[in-house]
Amino acid sequence: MNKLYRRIEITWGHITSKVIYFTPIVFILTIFESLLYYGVTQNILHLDIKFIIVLYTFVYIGTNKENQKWKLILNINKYIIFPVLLFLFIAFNYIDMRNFIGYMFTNYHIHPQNLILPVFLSILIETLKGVVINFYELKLNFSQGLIFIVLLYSILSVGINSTWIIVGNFNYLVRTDLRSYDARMKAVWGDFYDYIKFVQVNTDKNSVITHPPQANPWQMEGNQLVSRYFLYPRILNSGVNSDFYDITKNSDWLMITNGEPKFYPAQFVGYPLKPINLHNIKLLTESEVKVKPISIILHKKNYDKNIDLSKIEDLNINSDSVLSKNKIILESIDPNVTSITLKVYANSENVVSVYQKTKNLPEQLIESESNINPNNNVYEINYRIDPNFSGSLYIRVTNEKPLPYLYLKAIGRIAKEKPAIPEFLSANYYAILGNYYYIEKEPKLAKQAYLEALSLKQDCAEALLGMHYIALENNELTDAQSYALRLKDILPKDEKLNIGAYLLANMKEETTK
Amino acid sequence: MIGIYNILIGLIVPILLGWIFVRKISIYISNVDIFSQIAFSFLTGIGILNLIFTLNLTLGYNFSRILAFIILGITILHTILWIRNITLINLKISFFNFIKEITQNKFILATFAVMFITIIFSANWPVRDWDSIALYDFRAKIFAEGSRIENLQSDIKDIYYYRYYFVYPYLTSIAHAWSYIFHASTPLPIYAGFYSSILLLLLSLSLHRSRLGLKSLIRTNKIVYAIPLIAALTPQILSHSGIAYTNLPYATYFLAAIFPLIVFPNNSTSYFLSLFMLVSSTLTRFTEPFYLSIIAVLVYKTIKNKQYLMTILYPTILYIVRKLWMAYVVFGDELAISAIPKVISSFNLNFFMEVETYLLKHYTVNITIPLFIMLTIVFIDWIKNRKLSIEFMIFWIINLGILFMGGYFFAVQMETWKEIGGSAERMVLAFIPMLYLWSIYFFSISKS
Repeated sequence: MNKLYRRIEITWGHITSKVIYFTPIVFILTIFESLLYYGVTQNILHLDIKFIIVLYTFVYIGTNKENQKWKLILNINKYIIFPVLLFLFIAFNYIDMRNFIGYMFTNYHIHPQNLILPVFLSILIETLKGVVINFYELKLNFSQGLIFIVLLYSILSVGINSTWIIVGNFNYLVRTDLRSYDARMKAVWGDFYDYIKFVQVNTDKNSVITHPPQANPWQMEGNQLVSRYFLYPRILNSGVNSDFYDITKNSDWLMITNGEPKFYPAQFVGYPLKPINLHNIKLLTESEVKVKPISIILHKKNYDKNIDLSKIEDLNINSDSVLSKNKIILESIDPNVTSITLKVYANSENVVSVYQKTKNLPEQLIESESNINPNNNVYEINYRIDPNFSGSLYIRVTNEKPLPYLYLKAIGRIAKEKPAIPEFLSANYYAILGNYYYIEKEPKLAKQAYLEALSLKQDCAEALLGMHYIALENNELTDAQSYALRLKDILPKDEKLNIGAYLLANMKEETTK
Repeated sequence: MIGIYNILIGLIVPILLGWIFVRKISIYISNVDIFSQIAFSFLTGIGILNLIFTLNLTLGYNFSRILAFIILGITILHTILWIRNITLINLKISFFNFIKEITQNKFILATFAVMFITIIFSANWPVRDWDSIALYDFRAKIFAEGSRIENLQSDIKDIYYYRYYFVYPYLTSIAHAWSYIFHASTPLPIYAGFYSSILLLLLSLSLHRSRLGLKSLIRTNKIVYAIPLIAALTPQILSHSGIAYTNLPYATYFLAAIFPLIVFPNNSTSYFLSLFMLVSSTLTRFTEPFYLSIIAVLVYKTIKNKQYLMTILYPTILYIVRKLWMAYVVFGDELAISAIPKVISSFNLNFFMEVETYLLKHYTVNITIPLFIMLTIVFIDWIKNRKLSIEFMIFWIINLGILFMGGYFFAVQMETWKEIGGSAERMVLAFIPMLYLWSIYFFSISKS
């Protein structure tokens, strides 16, 4: 056992005599961490920089630092390296704080936060220069040595993360553009803050406001708890589908917003895939919805069968509350029928659909999409028959519009009727105005508004979308494609969530046709 | 300048308010030092405000702004009387003693520097985080205008939204309201106060430990002061010092509840101080059952010291406070005891292991460093002494039981249990200061 100790002691002696040469190397490695990136040593040497510092310090403590070489190194550290590093650490971090976190990295390729590592190493070397532990002392105090290593590693580990947090926090405080409460809240809450502020300024304190439900794309505006913080004492109601009309009837204001475009899935009905014509949408009053079935075509494997439906009575809804009327059009469906096409006359979009219903499972319905392609008020509803679900076929008429549709109709109107206060003039406002003019069939004015929006915010999704449609209508396919491409770039990469990708795919499909 | 006013209202006045009580308590607790005095003063100050105004609100009255002015008046009056009583020499001595304590070690100095930085940040930054906007700070704004949440009931159609305002007790909201009543622009210095209290308590115990003065590897025992600094820099704690969430206040009160039990002398003053802190913690976050571990430690200590009155009184008072709060909020149930037989009868070892592995992964992700430190120190202590403090064992057995068995209990009943990773990670944040406290606690003992 003694022999083993003796051997270890000799090896320890060899190591401590060489540690002086490792001093600059460890310094350089720590500086690399800020010049390149945190973790570069780990990637190249497969050794964590924190572990290298701990190991170095441990051997450094066991080294006799009385000779001339060490004195020179220690003096250089104390009078040159430490002051210079500390100055650079403070100065560079201050520059980052004044601008933005990452400013120094963008311009000079330095992570000033990571400079804490060489600064800390320099402090360690200076603080522990008088400490020399020989091998026997170390053996006797093994537990203390272990605690020292653990605490040193921990302090390095938490220190570097905390530097990022502190510098990040003070970046918000020091920046000149974030001096006001509004600017600070905007930095945290983004465009939502502008919007909620807009509502706050433009409504009386005792008014009642209906807001969208908390669903995509209104995760923010739909959260009544968050909105109430900014809008209290105004009374807030959630405009959910079931009692939307009752709620809005008792409200002074309807909160209209596009929500957060980046959260939109491309299939989402609320996304303004196409600006909607305001004139088509009227308040649901008496005789509002008029539907007259014309015919139904049964598509079979070999041939089509046309059935006249003109004898069926009209399906009209005269009410300002949400109602629906159902009428059976086929008692049973021939198993050979694969799909049907229903032709109806209707005075409005989104009012007619067909659905299948079985006697055994009455609660289970499979419903077609509502009519959305107007052709002189004659709509064709295509519906694929589910072979596993044979039963009667019904026509359903409702005066309930999909909620996002109702919000969209009001966006443009409000933008037009309530001009924005200059300080709240934003890209969003111009985009909304653009939508309004587009709907009003004034593409020139619309284009002007969209371009205004784009000049304020290059990645204004709404305006890019509008410009895409205008270009498409003018047959400027290259332009349309470029707007869709820009839209694709700013939205999430996942194609399902990317309206830009969806539009490009649509264009491709159209061209192949 | 506004920053200084915010610090005055959110930090200094609560300390001076708490000092009225802590000054008296200090007479009965022999080893309380300046650090723990400041920390307990702040925590007592906020706790007293909470008790008074929670009572005010639960009794069915609107938040009383006049009461706030009366409390401020009493605090100012007491401070004037106190300052008049102390002579200039005494003041100088205590001031220089304080400076001496701070400057005796670079770690302490660094810890105070970080504390100072967080106070400056918090005094100039508004409340802006999701939960505080939706709940804590909103309630504070209602209180500050002399109203109460119940007055909103007729305006809120959706019962879900209305009930949400009662999910957490009022402590942090009352503390915010206190700031707003006196027109402070932000209540965030309160959170820097909680953060500083954790560090001061850890420093206080370190001071106590280092004074045992045994020789060690680096000649002095001062390395123990590195632990409060590591605590100060722990990202999870540091980031919460500028966020108006309840996690940090809860963790602080939880720490302050165990502190008198393991550090101060075993007398009823220490126990009442601990009880007050535990009541405040339960009135910060109500649902976490970790208070059981502190009750268990107390029961062990009081039975050991034959202080049977406290064995009964302490849990009873806490139970009454909890029952009163539950009676006020009407809904909510502490533990679904009825589900226990179902959980036991459907026991499945494979599922149990799957749940526990999942929980272990998520519980440890945020607390690796403090856990690592504590385990090392406790391990070394155990190697040397071959025994562990009973308080330590009781505390952790109960809490680990709650964390792991509670997690399993939840997983059996909820099909979506795999989504609780995030809340499991946040839940253990309350243990970070605790892990550091136990590290320091065993530090001196770990020397041979």
